[in-house]
Amino acid sequence: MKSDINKDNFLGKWLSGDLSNEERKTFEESEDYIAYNDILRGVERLSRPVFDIEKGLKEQKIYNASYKEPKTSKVIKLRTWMYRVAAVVLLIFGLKTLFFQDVTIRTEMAQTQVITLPDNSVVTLNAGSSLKYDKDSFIENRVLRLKGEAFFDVSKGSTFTVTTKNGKITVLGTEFNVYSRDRTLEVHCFEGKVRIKKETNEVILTQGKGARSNEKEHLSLFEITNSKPDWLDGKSSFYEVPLEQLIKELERQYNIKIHKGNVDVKRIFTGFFNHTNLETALLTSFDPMNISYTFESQKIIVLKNK
Amino acid sequence: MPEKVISVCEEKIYEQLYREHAEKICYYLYYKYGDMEKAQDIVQDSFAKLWVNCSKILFGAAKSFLYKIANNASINALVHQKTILKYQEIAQKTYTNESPEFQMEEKEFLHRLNRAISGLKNGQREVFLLNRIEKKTYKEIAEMLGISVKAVEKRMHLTLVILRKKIKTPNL
Repeated sequence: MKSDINKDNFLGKWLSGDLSNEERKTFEESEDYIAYNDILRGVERLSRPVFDIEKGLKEQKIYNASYKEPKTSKVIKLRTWMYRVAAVVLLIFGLKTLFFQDVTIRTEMAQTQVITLPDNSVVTLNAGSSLKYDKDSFIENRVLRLKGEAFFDVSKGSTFTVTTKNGKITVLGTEFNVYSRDRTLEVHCFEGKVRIKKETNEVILTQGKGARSNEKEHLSLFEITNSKPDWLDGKSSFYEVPLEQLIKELERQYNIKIHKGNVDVKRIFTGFFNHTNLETALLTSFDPMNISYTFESQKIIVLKNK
Repeated sequence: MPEKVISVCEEKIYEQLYREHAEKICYYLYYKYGDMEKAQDIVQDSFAKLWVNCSKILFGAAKSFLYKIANNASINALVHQKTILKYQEIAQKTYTNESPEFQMEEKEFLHRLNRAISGLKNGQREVFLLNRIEKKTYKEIAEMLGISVKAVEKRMHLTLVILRKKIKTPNL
């Protein structure tokens, strides 16, 4: 008879007096009974706070006198099919919010941010980027969505996945940098191993390797020499990228607007600029390219071929 | 013969409704969320809404109207609220824990029990306390929460099992 108590409603039946005599007798002789009885007796000893009805009623009347219902918005009659559409949309959003407690972190222009994830991995988010993950399930399921650029120092554990619109990066605990803007994806692996998947292509990066894909190339590999991304040290470096990528990065880091004028932004650029001084940054970026720049206002810069 | 229409706008009727339901709704919310002050606020709001809309609400529908408003309000106001319940402990006759596993000072036992109840999930706590303190039958609880009697039975069972575990090892 001992097994009865393991039924998921046994104690419920006991409390409501719905056990058979035999069941009850056996149970009352067990040790379980003594323990549960103690709990019930304990509960009897606890009391609820007092609710004073008459006092409440008096206060209620005063409250009612000054109560105004919050304004409800105008009611627009919907046709039945619109109800259906609305219901489906609501359901989708409802499910989404129910099951995905998403956290989104965004950096503005000229701003970087360090984020510690629930699993103690550290993410440094570069300017003009965003990171999204599900707070509730992150520990079990380390997946996050990145727009822009970020450096990851992943703590050991289950697979850690970064999804971007340009591909998917999976790792097991390592340090790596992801850049995913426009159509370009660039991943630098500084420690450990990183797997990148883009559509059907897949590469595995080991320490000191990088991979890039854009409109033209499909995940080409290259060597990196630094031990962490340059932007963590306050500079942005580029290796054979179109000029427009450099321009966009300048705009993000300094929160400025650059008009390209008559400059061909498809030209290839290799070099870097630092994040501390705009004048120097502009000079190091454009002088070697034989491009001159003028300030139209404090935030707007116009380029011109020399 | 048409029934005489009872108007909620009539002060006497309104008072009657308040006396009958305010306390119950308040405890219901309290057991669910563990915050008496907030529970009272919500009750007040619910009854104010009933007053403002008194001409539109039939007497017979007032109860469910009140519960509905209270339920909605509480979801808005108390989502994520995790206040520890504060029960006043009655200090009377000395209490002995008979069960060998709960051999501890009475005060400690009640304290752990209290903590364990506070730590229950909202759905478990409300069912358990509505039954144990308000002495509501499973059927009444099931109707209140819109679940089946069987589900109430199961929750009661599970809650007791959880409480026992938590009292034994409070840090669980």
